[in-house]
Amino acid sequence: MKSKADSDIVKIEDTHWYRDAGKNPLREQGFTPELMLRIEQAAVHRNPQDFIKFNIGKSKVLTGLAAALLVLFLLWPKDGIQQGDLNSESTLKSQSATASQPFPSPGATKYLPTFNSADFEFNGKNYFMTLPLDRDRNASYAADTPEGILWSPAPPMKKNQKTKLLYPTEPYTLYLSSKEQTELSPYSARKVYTFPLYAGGAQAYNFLIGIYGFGEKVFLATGAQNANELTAFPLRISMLNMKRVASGGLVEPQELLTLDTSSNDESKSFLAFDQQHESILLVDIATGQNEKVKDRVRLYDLKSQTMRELDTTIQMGKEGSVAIAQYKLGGVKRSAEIFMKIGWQWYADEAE
Amino acid sequence: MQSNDMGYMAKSSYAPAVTLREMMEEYGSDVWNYAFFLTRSREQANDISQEVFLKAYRNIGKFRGDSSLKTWLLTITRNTAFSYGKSNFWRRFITLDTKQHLPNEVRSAEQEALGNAYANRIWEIIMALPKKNREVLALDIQHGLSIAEMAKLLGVAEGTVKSRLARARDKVRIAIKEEEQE
Repeated sequence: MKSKADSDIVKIEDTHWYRDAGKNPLREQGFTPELMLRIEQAAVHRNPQDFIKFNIGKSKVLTGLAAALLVLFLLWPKDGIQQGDLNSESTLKSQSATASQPFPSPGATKYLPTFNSADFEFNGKNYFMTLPLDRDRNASYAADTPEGILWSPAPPMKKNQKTKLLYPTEPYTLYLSSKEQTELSPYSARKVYTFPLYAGGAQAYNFLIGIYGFGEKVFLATGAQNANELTAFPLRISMLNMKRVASGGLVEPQELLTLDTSSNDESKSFLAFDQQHESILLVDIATGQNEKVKDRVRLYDLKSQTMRELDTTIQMGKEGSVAIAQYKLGGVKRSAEIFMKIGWQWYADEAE
Repeated sequence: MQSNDMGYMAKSSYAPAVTLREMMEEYGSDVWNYAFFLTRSREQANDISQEVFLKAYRNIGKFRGDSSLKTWLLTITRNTAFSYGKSNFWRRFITLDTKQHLPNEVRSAEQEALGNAYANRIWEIIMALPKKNREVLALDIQHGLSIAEMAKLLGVAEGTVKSRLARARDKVRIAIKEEEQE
């Protein structure tokens, strides 16, 4: 509650724009009935026995009527829910599916996202993965390729109680779906590759960090993290040739690069792909006050599989909506599409 | 603080008699909006809101009533937002798709899309401020917290809150004035 002293520091000239701003920053409500229902489902999923207990004072008692109303609400048919693109059938299926049945439907051709679906858009077409509520949608990835949509759903994860670090309990798997199939479901997709769960130790786990499609070439970014300790880990970039994938059989990604990310807390780096010259550009941006320190620029040639240091300045710009890095080689200007930023400093810049 | 907060602050019984749904109906927008102010992302605000209400519901018995229920929820929101990226270490890697913008630009793809979604130009200006500034403005304008409540929530001295607030207001006022002169 505001005291008089507090209100005194609101100067007269502030008041009109304070009033004009209003309470709500967005035209539409952010906290929607759909989100509320999703949270209730998550509560039921995580702790069903606690969810029907209501806290009255310090004693917990079961309130049968309220619990019954809650169950009724959760099971209420789709017509009873007013807003949004809810599909109650999908919702109820995913609710009952939970962790043991991650993909409840065989793959819809209509766009019917559910509460915890991971959504993607390629060339104006929407795709979704239906995920159990315990999955992190942000750990799901997809890329558009000429052979279809290459994708990987978030695996179930646990949190190390001591370090609070999350680690997967099942390996990441790559699937290929037809572009006509808007629901990315393993039932209608071909399994392409399963990454090993462990990365050389009982507590070291492999993570998939991103899938980046450039025509027939798809880059995969992976890392390994020990759940017992937050440490820097090498970032691995590997490649899939989608023509080979389409020809059938399981295909193992071809390892290209292993990058040290140990200094990423302070530094900023990015990766870009020069499609014309089939080269990956690696840029470590010089940070800090020392103007003599220059950006470190390296170029990895896919054909020769060799890396070289470049003495060039980097110019960042945009071509349409694509982020571009321009560099020079032999006096000739080249262009590469930025696809991955690396380092906490990107976040820090954003925060400040 | 709103008057209806008081109903949850009985001295003899700190843990309020409230269902998850009631809690969300009462404070859902507060939690979501604060998470949105901190992250400038709808997606993250959704995820953080979910975590906040699940944590709050699980730990409602630990609520001691030394702040309002709303301030308690906002504190959980802040802590959840800050730990959000840390436990998921892979989020230090940011994927750019063809719709995203340059890393050194302030506005991300979502922020660009949000441009037309703000209630008015003032909120656009506020959301473009550095996090420390926009956070105090949000707590003041939107949530109506006192200086003392803000100081406690942010873990800083009251003087720091006042100076941050003054700086934030100056920035908004200058931005509005400049636009009016254009």
